[in-house]
Amino acid sequence: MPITSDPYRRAWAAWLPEALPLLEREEYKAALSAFPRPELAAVPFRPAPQERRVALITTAGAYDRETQAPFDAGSTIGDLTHRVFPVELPDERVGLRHGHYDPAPAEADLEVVLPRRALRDAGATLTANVVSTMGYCLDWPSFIAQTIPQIVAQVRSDGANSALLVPV
Amino acid sequence: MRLVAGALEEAGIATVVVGTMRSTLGDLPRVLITRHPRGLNFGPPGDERERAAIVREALELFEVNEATLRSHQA
Repeated sequence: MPITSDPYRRAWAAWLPEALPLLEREEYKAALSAFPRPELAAVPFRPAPQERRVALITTAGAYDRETQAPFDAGSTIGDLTHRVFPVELPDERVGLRHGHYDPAPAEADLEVVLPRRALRDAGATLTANVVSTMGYCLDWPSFIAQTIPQIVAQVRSDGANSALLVPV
Repeated sequence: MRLVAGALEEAGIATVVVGTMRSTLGDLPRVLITRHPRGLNFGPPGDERERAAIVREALELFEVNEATLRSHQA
């Protein structure tokens, strides 16, 4: 008897055993060639509101060095968790942990992935918190079921009606 | 990021995505591709002029009236 009735999770769980050894050897192309993807509804175009309150969201693996654990960059299947930190957090408090891109430029100048000052200089109204994930996450069933609803709830509770997303 | 943006749009939150890899951004309503290497979505470190231009273009995408995928010209 399957442990879940979710057909997407079952498909993912069936893919994982063969993929794991390939992922451990960092043979991503081979591992991901049969990666099951969920059926996604088309995203309809809707006009953005005129008075915008913009949430800033990134997959750069950003976190607050003083109060939060870094992302698990060493995990074979990535990290499905997310971090929320104040948009006003000083640059030196923002850490980057990802493992699948070179963070050196962003560590030298955080604005290349998190352009908080540039957005304000351009007149954007940012909401109170940045939401961050580590872009490398292969546990899509859990990410869809757990993480995404939390991100949407956070953005909503911050009063955003718009979002700028920065996938890295 | 396609998954997050789609969920936000579904929740009525308008999204603009500023990416460097077109293939992962799918059919989202407002996408700006910058022709910079991965991890440099808003241009090289210290290049405030380039960053301001990308930010300006990204914010302008909130104003479009139809689905738009635009490439930023450095």
